Amino acid sequence: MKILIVDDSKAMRLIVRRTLRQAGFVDHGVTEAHNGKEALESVRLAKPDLILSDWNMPEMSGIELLDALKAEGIAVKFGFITTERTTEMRARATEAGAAFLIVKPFTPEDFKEILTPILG
Amino acid sequence: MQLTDCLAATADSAREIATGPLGISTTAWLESSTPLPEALSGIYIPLLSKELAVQVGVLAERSDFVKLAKALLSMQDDEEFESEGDVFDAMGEVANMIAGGIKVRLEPHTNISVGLPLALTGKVFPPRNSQSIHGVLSLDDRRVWLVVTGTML
Repeated sequence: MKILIVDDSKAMRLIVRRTLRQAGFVDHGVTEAHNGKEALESVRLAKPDLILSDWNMPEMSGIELLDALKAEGIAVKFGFITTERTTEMRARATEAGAAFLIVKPFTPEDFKEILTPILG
Repeated sequence: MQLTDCLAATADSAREIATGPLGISTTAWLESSTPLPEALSGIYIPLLSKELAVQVGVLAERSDFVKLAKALLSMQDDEEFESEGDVFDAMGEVANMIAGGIKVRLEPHTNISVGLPLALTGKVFPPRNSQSIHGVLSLDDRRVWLVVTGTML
């Protein structure tokens, strides 16, 4: 499967890649985008199967990206990896159509539990 | 709610991040009335709600700042960052995680929006009419100054 990691932090993109490997998801193609706007362009071209996106980013936030994907009729599994973990933000994510929300800081076990049903 | 409640939530959240992703084993929190040292590297993150408008700062001396950034990325002591920006980027994520923890801790009192991190080095002068309080978090052999600057609305 093709996975797109969207985060404005280089450090966090690296940590997400590393955690995917540590969780055993090694046979997937991983690409990166620095914000929602860049991710939207990448999705149109590369058509990933799964998007792992930060919430707060410059240019275009994760929630704005999700809304833009829906507006363009692009169906792709979408999950947040974010520090946003309040009840309100979880509800907003679900309402917008996110499949899951992984809270930073996370562990490889968190990734295994949440991503195994999607990535196998 | 007072600014001190925000600082207490910051300290508690920072300890959680320190003992989690940063792999720090012992932490100790000391509130401080002495002025902030002038030559600190740091990240400030704005927190806004109907009840408060503050900046939360996570500051450290240069060598500790780099050590903590390396800890987040599980880098060895002899490994170097590609650029200065990468150090601040990593510490921006640390500050971001701390801000997420503050938001949850203060959720019963106020609904906070978290802004984007701002990196800086040197002395910060709080805006006029705002308060600033800080404390020191001891993390094994490193020290971090946690600052809350702003106003309760």
